[in-house]
Amino acid sequence: MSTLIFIGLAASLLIYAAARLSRPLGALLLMLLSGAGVAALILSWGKGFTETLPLGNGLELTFSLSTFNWPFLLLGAFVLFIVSLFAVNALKEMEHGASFLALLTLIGVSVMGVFGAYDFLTLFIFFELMTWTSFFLVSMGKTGAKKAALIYAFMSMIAAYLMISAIMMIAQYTGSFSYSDFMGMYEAMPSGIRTTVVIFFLAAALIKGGIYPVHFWLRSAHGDAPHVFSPVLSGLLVKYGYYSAFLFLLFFPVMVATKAGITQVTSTDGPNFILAFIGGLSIMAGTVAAILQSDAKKLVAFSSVSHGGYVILALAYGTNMAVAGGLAHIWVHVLTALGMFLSMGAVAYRTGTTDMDEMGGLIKNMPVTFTVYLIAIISVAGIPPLAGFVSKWMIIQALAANGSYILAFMAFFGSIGSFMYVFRPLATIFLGQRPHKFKDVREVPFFMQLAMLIVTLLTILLGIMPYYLLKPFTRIQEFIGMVPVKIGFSTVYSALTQLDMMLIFLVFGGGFLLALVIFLLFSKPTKVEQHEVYTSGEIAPEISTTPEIYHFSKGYYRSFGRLFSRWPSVEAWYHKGAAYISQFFEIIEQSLFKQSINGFIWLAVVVMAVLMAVRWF
Amino acid sequence: MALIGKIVLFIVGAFVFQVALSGFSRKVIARIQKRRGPVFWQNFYDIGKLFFKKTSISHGFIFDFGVWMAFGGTVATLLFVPVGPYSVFPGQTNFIVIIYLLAIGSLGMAMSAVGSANPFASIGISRALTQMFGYDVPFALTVVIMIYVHRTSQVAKLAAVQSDIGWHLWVMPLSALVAFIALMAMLGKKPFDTPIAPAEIASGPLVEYSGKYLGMLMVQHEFATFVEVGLFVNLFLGGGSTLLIYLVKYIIVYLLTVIISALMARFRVEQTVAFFWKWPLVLVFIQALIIIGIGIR
Amino acid sequence: MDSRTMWEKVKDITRGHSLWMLYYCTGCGAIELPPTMTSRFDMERFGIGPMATPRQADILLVTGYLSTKTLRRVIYTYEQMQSPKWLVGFGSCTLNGGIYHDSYATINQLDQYLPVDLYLAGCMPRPEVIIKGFKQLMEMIKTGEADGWKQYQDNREWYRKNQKKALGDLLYTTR
Ligand code: SF4
Repeated sequence: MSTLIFIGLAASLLIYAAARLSRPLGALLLMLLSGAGVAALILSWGKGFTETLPLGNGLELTFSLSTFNWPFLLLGAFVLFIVSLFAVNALKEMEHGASFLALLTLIGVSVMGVFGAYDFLTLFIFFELMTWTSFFLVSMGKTGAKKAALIYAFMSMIAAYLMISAIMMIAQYTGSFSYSDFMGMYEAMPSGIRTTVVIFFLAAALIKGGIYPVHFWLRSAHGDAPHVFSPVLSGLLVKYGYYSAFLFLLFFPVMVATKAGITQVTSTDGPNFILAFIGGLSIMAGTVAAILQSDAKKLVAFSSVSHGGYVILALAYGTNMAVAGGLAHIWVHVLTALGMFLSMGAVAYRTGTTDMDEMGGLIKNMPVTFTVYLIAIISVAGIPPLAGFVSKWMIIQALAANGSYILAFMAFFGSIGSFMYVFRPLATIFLGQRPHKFKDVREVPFFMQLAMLIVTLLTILLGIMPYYLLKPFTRIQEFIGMVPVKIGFSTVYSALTQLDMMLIFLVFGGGFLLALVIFLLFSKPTKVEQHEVYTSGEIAPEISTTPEIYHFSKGYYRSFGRLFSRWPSVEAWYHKGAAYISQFFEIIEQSLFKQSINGFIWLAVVVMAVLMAVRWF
Repeated sequence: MALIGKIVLFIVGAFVFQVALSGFSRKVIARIQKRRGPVFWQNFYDIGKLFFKKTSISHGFIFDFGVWMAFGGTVATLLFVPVGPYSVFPGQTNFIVIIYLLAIGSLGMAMSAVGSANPFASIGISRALTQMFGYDVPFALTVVIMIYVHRTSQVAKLAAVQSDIGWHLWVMPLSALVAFIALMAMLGKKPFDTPIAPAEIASGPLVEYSGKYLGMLMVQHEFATFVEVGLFVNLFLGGGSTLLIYLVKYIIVYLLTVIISALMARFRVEQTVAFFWKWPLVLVFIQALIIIGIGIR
Repeated sequence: MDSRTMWEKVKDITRGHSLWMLYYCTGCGAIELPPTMTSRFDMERFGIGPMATPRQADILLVTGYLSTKTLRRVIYTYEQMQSPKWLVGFGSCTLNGGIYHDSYATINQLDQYLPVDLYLAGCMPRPEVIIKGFKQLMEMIKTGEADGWKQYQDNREWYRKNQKKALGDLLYTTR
C-alpha cells in the first residue's frame, strides 16, 4: 500500500506533465491507473494484509487491506475511474485542466490513505491531504467557487481540529494510534474521555459527511465546484465522513450489543437514538431544501444531504439489517450521485448552465444523458427494481421491525419527498418546451457517454442481483462479529419478509411488454410538433413559446414552498458567522490567489499537507 | 402454465370487475344528484371507444414510453396484491414493494405527461407529486404500526391475522381513519383532486392524451384503484376468506369513497399537504402511542 | 348498402354509446347546456359527458354565433380533436346567421368552414331538442352515417379556401 501511495504521488506529477501536453492523455492515464486499482481490488477479493511505513521519530503509518475496508477502497477507485473517463472529453475547455487532473490523482492517494489506514494518525494525515486538495479543486469552479472553497475549508478546519483533538486524547490514553489498541482499551477508558472522544470524532465525521446542522458547505461547494469535480465530491469525499462515522459507531452501545449476537433491539439507546435522529433530521431538511432549489446541481447536493442522513440513521440504528442497509446505501448513493451529477455535468457541458428555469425539452438533443438521469433518479427515489430500492427497503424493514415510528416517519418522508425533487430536473431540463436557443445542442462525446452508461448499467444490475451489492457488506458484518444479513442471489431476507428483486424485475418487464403489445395493437399515432398542444384555443406560436411563459418550470413547487415560508433556516443563522469568516480569509485570499494558481498549485498542496501534519505534533 | 393462467385471470378479472364497478359508481353519484345516470357498463363503452379511435396524438418517444411504463408498472403491482384467499406470488405480497412499485406507474405517467410539453400537464404533475408527498407519509406509517405489531410485512399475512384479533378497523380505529382519508387522496377523489381539476387546469396530466393513450391510462387508473382499495381492504378489513366476501368489502369501501367525494369541494394543493401533515399525522402518532402503551388486545 | 365489417360495426356501437363533448361557448346557447347536464334532463344517462380538452373529446358543440375572431379558434380546436369526431351546430346562428345574419363580424353558415354533422334548430334550442338531437346523432354514428370528419379530410382544399376567405392571412394551420 505504501508503495502504491508513492506511485500515486509520482503519478500525479506524471499526469500533470502528460496533461500539459494533452488533456485527454492525462485523463486516460488517470483512468488506466484507477481502472487498474478497481481490477486489483476485485482480484484481491477475500485477501488482506497489514503493513507499516516508519516515519522516524517513533512514528509510523499503518495500512491494511481487509474485508472491512475493501468495499470502500473499491468505491474510491471506481469513482475516480468513472470521473476520469468522463474527464477525457469534459476537461477540454477547463482553465486549469492539467493541475485539475494532478489534484484528482492526489485525491486517489488520499483514498488509499483514508480507507486503507490502520491507525488514526494515517487516517488524519490523508484526511487533510484530501481536504486541501479538494479545496483547490473546488476553487477552480465557476464564479462563486472561491467563496465556496473558503466555506468548505473553514468547515474542514473545524472538523480537523475536532478530529485531531479526539485522536490526541486516544493517543494519550492508549499510547498508540492504532485502531486495534483503541479497540482493546475502549472499555477500560474513563467514560468522560470516552464520551468526548466519540463526540469529537463523530462531529468531525458529520461535518465531512455533510449531515444536517453542519451540511451547508455542501450547497455552495457542490453547486459551484467544476462540473467534473462535483461527482467526486458527492460520490467519494462525503463518504470519508460516513466511513469515519461508521468506524466510531462500532463502539456505540447498541452496536456492541448487536455484535454480541442480538439481532433485534427492542429499545434504542440514548446516544444511538440521538445520532439516528440527527440522521433523520438530515433526511428531512435535505429533502425539503432540495425540493425548493432551482439550480440542478444544488438540488443534487441537497439530495446528498438527505442520503447521508439515511446512512447515518441506519448505521446509528445498529441492528444488523440496518447496518447492512446503511452500508449498502453508501454504495447505492455513489452510483446515484455519479449518475445525477454526471448527467447534470453533461448538460452543463453542452448548454453552459445548470439553472433549471432556463432549460427544457433537451431530451430531443441528449437522449443518452436523459436515460442516465432517468435510471439514476429511479434509483434515488427507491423505486424497484433498481439498486436504490434494496438499501431503502432494508433500512425501512429494520425500522419497522423495531417499531421506531419517528425514525420510520423520517425515512418515509425522505423517500417520498425524493419523488418531488428528482422529478424537477427531469421535467424542466429534459422534458417540456425546448427554447429556441437550445435547438442545436448535441449529445455529449463518446467517453462521457461511456462513463455515464457504466454507472447506469451497474445501477440496474446491482438492483436485479442484490447479492453483489450486499455480499461485501455481509462480509463486513462477519468481520466485526455481527450476525450477517441473510441474502440469496436475488433475494434478501429480513425478519419480517423476503424480497425477490429478480421476480419484481421480471413481473415489471412482463407488464411493460403487455403494455407494448396493447399499444401496438391499435392504430398508429401521429407525431406533432412541440408547440401543438392544447392551449384553450389560443394559437401557440403567436404567444411565442419560450419556457418563461409556456413551460411553467419556474417555481415548479412554489405552492409547496409556501408551506415552509415561515420556517427558520439554519443557513441563515450561519450567515453572520460566514461574514466574519470571509473577512478573515480575505488575508489568505490576498496572499494566495492574486497570482495565477496554475503553476504552483499542487506544490502548495503538498507543502500545506506537510505543514498541517507537522504543526500539530 | 398454471402461473400464467393465474396471471391472466387476475388481470382480466380485475379489469372487468373494477371497470364495471366504476361504471356503477357513476350511477351512484347520479342518484345522489337526483339523476338517473348511465348504465353500469358505460365505462366499457368509453374505454372501447378510446381504443377504437382512428387517430391519436404522440408528442415524441417519451410520451409513449411513459404510458407503457405506467401501464406496465401498475399491472405488475396488481400481481403482488392478494385478492381474498388468492395471490399470484404467495409469500411475495410485500407491502413496501407494493407501494413503491405503484410509484413506477405514477412516475411513468408523470414523465409522459410532462413530455407532452403542455403547461397544464406540468402544473398537474407538480400538484400530483406534492399531494403524494402529503398523503403517502401518514399512510405508510399506519402500516408500519401494523408491521411492527404482527412482525410481518406480508400483506396476505397481515390480512390473515385479523381473523384472530378482529379487524384492524376496530383494533386501530385511528389508523383506519387516516388510511381511509389517504385512500381518498390516492384515488384522486374530491376533496383531493387538485391534480386533475378539470375546470381549472383542463384535467391536468391528462390534457394531451387522446385515443388509445387515454384508454390505456384509464385502464391503468382502474388497476391502480384496484390495488389501492385492495390494500385498504386487506390491511384494515381483514381481506376475505372467500373471494365473494373480499369483493363485497371492496365494493363497500369503494362506494364509500365515491359517496363522500360526491359531497365535497376541492382543497388547494398546499392545503392538502398541510392537512395531511396536521391531522392524519398526529392521529397516526397517537395510534402508535396507544399501541405501544396497551398493546394489541 | 352497409359495407362495414362486423368489427367495424362493434366499433361504431361503442362510439355511439360514448360521446364526450367539448363545448365552445361562443353564443347564448351555452346557457341551455347546464340544465341538460344536471338533474332535470340528465344527459349522462346516454353516456354523454363534458370533457376538458379537444384531445379527449369526440363532439364539438358550437353554441351559437361565431365571430371571425372565434372562428379561428374553433378551426384550431376542431383540428386538434381526434377522428372520428363530430361537430354539432347549435341554434339558428350557426345554421344561417340567425339574427346576426347581417353582421359584419360574424360568419353565417358554419358548414362552409367546418363539416357539421348535426344542426339543432331554434333560437335558442331547448334541452328537449338537444337531447333529441343527440339521440339522433348517436343513431347516425351507430349506423356509420355521421362522417363529417371524413368529408373534412377529403375536401380539405374546399374548406381551406373558405376559411382563408373569411380569415385572410390570420388563419394559422399546422398541417
Ligand atoms: S341562435 Fe339565437 S340563442 Fe343561439 S346564438 Fe344565435 S341568437 Fe343566440
